[in-house]
Amino acid sequence: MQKSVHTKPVFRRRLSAKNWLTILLIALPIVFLLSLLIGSVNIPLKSIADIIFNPDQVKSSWVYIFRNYRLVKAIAAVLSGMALGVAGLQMQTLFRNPLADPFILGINSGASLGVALVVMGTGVLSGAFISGLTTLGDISLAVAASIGAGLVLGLILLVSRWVRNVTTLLILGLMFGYATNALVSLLIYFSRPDRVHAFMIWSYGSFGGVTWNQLRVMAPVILIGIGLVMFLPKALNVLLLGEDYAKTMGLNVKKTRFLILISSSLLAGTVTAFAGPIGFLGIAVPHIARNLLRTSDHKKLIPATLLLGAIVALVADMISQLPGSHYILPLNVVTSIFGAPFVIWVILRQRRGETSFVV
Amino acid sequence: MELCPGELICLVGPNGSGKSTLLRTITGLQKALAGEVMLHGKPIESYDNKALAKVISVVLTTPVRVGAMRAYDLVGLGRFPFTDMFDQMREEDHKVVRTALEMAGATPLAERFVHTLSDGERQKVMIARALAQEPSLLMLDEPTAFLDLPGRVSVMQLLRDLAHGHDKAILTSTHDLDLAMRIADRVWLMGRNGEFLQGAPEDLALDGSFSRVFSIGKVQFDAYTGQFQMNGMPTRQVMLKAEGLNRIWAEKALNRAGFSVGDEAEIQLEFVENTWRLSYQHKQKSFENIYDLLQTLRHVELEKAE
Repeated sequence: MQKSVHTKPVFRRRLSAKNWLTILLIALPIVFLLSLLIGSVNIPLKSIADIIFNPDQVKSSWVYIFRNYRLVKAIAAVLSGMALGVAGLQMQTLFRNPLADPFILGINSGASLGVALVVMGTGVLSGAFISGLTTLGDISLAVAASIGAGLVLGLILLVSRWVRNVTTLLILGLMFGYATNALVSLLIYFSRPDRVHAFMIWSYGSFGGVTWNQLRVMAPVILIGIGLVMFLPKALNVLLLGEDYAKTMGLNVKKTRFLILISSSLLAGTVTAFAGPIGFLGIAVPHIARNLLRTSDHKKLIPATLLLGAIVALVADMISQLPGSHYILPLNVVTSIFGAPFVIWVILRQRRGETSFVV
Repeated sequence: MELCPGELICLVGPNGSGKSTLLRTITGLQKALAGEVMLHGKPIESYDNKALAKVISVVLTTPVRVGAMRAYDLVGLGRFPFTDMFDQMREEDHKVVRTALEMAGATPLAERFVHTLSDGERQKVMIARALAQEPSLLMLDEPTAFLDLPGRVSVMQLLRDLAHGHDKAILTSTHDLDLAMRIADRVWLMGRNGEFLQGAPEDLALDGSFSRVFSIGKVQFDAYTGQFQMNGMPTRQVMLKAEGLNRIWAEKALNRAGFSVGDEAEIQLEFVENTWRLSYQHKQKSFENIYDLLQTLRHVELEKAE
């Protein structure tokens, strides 16, 4: 086994981490542009400039679709991908577990509960939820989702102080997820059909449902979450060795845990509030980043997961549009179909000790 | 208890005597159950995490499992208390890392990925990481637990060299009493019922402390050899006529089989013309090697028992 590890670079020359970051930086705008072109209505590339600068000279339906649907959707995808990717990275390092992500640890379920309470609990907001919420409604949705996410994450962190075994912790996270999902089911059971329908549509996951108004809440919150992460690469690096080592190396573990908790719940909670519970992005993106860059250094991994997360989210969205057809798949279907085999691959790779953690 | 620079102290004691707890208390990982830890004349609570990390560094017993990280970068993590918020390594930091690798004998491992290292190699890298914190006090919790014999000896030697050559105070817990006695400047001995003794290894052997703390049932600490003996077997005597190395190893073999060497004994063992000759009740038998000899000796013992 050791031998194969050593001979690898001879056959496959690897790009340096810096080069990969440059490639990702170039790839993101290209994928972004591509996502603007793809959809049930065919808008040619050469009209894009006209849509932006001379809207009077092109079909008004194109301008409308571009401005109010595709552009918002692409921006929402970029923000969500970045948020989920970097939240997953933080979770994996904090729990030192390759399978940790907001989804598996039940954090998304917590966010779902928050959203369900807002959507189905209050009739006022639920009516608005279908037709587009007021700014106040958007904020309350984001807050509810973040609080739900934060509660579950806090509960897991609390338990993690006594339960050292990460597998146990993951199972507990799953159980928390089931419990909150049960509460959500209970809410659905006693709710009016139109509210239930709105909630079901939301739970399929979609960047397409995000409006400009919602983006005004979503973008700043996610940027604050990402801003918090920017202060954490050094702390995350020493946390790779475990909390005991981190403490003896001078890290304020409690404060760091709290910061990770806050930023992860803001990020995962906000995305879940507006785009629905999107699975697998949070697990997969950090692993792709680590494998491409061959590093565990969060100074490089954080920008890489941000860029890759955005790219993967855009690609997943493009696939869900089923280019050339008039159908749109739920986003969750796409991420799960590609995500599940990927996670299996991650688990099998564990045996070879090549990823950052060993279960 | 007191720790001084330039001294290698081995902390020994049976399982459950509180070695890890003591280490965790001294390193500030947990609060003292009783008493106080003073560091450079100040109580340990008065240090914040970062200040403490510049004085004490630690190698913990659980093996660190990280992938996609080079040994050099792992050692570089030791600069945590010294670098700025964004973790930029200055040339000075790189120099310390290189020195730490050199001191731990881990320079050839620098470019390897951590997950490709053997247990012994990884332990050296972890020690280098601890050294990169430039501590005056280095604490290790059973650093030799997962290592083979040469690995254990080389880690302990490394620790002794660090203590003597670089004037560090080093405290390491270990289950390897034999090695501890050969290498430690001082031994801290912890018993199950809160007993604490210290001194040169030889002092503790002479005053019977080792025997008292470590003797459990059939396993006894032998103050003559400094090793553990299996006691409780019916001991019979063999008269041994052999010289030099042959005598030493034959005696070991006899002990292992439950015999001791005595002057007046029914059973006689003699080494002549490169064969072992065993005499017992006027019967004689010759053996090519010790293995065959022991097979027969055990048989003799059985006959006697009947």
